[in-house]
Amino acid sequence: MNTTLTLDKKSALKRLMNNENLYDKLVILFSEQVEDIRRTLQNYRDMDTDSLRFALHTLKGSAGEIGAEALRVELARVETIVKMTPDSISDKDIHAVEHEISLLMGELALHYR
Amino acid sequence: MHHRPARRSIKDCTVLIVDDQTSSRLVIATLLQDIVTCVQASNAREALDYCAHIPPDLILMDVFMPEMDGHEACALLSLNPKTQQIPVVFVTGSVSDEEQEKCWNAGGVDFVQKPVNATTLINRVKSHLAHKLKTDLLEQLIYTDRLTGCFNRHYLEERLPDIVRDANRDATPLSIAIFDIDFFKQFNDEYGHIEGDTCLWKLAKALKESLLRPMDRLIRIGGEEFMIILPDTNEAGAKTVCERILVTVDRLQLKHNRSPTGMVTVSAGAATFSHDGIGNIDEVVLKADQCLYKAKENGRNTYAYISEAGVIESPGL
Repeated sequence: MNTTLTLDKKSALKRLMNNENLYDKLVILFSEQVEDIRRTLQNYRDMDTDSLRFALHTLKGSAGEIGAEALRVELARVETIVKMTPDSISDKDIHAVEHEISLLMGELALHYR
Repeated sequence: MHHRPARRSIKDCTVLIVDDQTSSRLVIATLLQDIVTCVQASNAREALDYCAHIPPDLILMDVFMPEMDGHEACALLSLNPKTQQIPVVFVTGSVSDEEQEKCWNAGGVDFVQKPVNATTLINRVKSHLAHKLKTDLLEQLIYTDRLTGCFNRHYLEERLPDIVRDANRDATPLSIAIFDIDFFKQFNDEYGHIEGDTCLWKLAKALKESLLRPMDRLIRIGGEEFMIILPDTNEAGAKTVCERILVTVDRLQLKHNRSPTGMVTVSAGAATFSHDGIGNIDEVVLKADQCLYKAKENGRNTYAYISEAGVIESPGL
């Protein structure tokens, strides 16, 4: 059973010395970034390997900052595929990332209602 | 009166944060803001340009960046004498064995894993800065003349080759001015060595303040003998500096009963190195010394220099 949390805000805050103000700013930056990258990933077949990997890596970093652990893990998995066997990247992998993004955005909406 | 190097503390330090991600830079800058001064660069090239002008005390470097990654940037920093002493700590999402090897091979001194843990980051930064401050202080002590606060002969031997290399690379002239205090033995005989030390200290202090550019270096090379290294300075500039040396010393009005003028004076000599001029820097130093000797011959309290025409010139000749 996968117990990776979609959003582990508690751990993220602990890492940031409970700086709520900083955490909120990071959530805003993530939200601004994620839509652009979502659109980019929809056209992954047209992207070169380096650009695709960079997009995944960028979002992975931001996800990690806010404790979006499940998304971070999924992005790391797909980033590794792109790095090691770029020709094997498939719709299934991109959909898995999209699924985690959707779950995360749902959680963030709950937190910041 | 003996020179004590200014003691810096961690809060006086500057940390350069290099990361293409705004959120990463925000996290690190916020966590460190009460400890050090942070500056930011959003890519490796910007970081290299910054360091070449204003070397920070520590660099926190992301690895994965577009165009130039952190490893390559660190390697370039280590190749430049102006930046090779800056410690680089990588901030990376991957701490695989392969990634760790790359960090060490690139010349990094440590790495911190992303997402960053505040306590770990802060303590690692403090530790590396404390080490850097100790190293800086040690270097300062090694290269500083304790009496006058000038650079010492050890500095000259270590650093002059680098300064010459920069001049060759940039195709700019480099001038050397050598001066010493006239009748200094007689000054010591008249007033004692403690007064002699005070005279040296006052003179060096005044001359350091008269040097208009941070790149100019005042070096004590002998008991009462000093050298000024003047990067990007031609023959006319060297002449101007010699004149300024004499005026500065004259303004001090240090009494010297056994000097013909009744005051402490200096004699100065200068020569210029350029890649299409006098052969090598040793020959230039020798020429400057010959000019100093000429100034002494001409009655002291004056200067001589090698003009653009390659001849010794002196005021009044």
